[in-house]
Amino acid sequence: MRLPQLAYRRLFEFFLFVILEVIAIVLVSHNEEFQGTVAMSGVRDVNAFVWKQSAALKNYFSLKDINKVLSEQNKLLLEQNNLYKEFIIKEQGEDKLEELSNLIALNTGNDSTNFTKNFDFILARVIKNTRGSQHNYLIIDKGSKDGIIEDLGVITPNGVVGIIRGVGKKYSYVLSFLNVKQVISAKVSNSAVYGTLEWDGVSIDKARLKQIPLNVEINPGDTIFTSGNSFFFPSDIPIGIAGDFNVSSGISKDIEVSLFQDFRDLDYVIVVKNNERVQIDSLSNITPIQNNR
Amino acid sequence: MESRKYIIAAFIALIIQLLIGEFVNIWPPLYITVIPLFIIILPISLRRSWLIIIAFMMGLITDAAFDGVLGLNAASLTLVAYLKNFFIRRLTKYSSEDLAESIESLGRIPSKIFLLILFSYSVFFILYIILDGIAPQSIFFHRFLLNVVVNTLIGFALERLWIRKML
Repeated sequence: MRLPQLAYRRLFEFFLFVILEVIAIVLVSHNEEFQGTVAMSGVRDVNAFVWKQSAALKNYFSLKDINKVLSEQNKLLLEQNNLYKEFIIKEQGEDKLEELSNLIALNTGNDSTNFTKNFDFILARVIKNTRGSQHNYLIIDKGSKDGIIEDLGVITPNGVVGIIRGVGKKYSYVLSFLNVKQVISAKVSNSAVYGTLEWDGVSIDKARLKQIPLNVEINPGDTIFTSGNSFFFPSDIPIGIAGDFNVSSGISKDIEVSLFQDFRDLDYVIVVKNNERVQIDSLSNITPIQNNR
Repeated sequence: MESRKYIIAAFIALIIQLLIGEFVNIWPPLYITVIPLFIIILPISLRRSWLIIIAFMMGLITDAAFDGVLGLNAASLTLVAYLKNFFIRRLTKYSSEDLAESIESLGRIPSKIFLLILFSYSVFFILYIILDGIAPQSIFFHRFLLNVVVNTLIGFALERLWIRKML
């Protein structure tokens, strides 16, 4: 009698183990979808509350206020830049803006035409910033009540920080660039060739720019910029400096990039809201039935 | 009384994990975790089904609160919990019915405690790194070895110096 009971118990334990393993593996494989759920938003609110106290203590002992002022100034400059462009377009037309931009490009070697056009910027404080794992993330103190929505880019004056993947009322979850699942579009200065930039998963100061054709000449020391090919980030934000490269599968170059952004010291970030995206999203949401009308 | 002791131990393990996550950032592929150690020190008299459920829940809390990927710690800890008694049986040569109340039964032989922690962290990191998936494959073995060695040494030191006295 004792043996069947034991066998029954072992079988139950085995099935319990298999069921919980399957649940866990499903959670891992659908992580990004679960991060956007209401339940995770609640967990993040609790997390953010705890980490906010810790962040407040850190702020007290450091020069956070100065950083905040600098970040505010930077945000204002970006907004001013937008206003100037709108003013020029209104008063003198697109051609004049193009002409002025070309002039700037001639002087700086960098085309800034589209740098902040069509973008709004929201300043946010970093509550939590993980950098010790393969799948790092940030929690920022801005949420849906501040106009944050999913899939907005997050930057600083030093480069790209990540993309918003979960939004609560007061806090948002940012998938850090230091996350092996994060890929952004980037280009090498003075070239129209784009590649994909991803963290190397090992050093928090390094990334790899991939899929650059072999015929494109790249020198160590060239600057890497955002390409502007996605809706997440404006073009021409400097990200890092190109280093050595190797040839991948005989068809493209993989370039080592030293990042400008120091992820050890992230206090304030800027959330980038692409106004064009809202319009395109609304077009994408038109169902075929609506389309036929 | 006995269960209160382990509830306190669970809280302490989570707080230690929280502090490690915040202040110990040595190298991104290195993941220092004390939660598997908590599963190891739970009494052997605890039914394996309960052990599996506790491990899953502790893993899920760790994932939601610190790690950022839901299910990663939960899957790995559940495996540790399922295999724990098997490891102890191998180390003690006893059947599961003869097992003592806790790993105190292994206590007089530090090498057996060390091996139990080593085996547990090994299975934990095999699954953890496989599920982590997209991490650089070139450093898979180095990452596994480094994580197991570092965590086993920390776990063994904690068990000897602190947990043994606390429990």
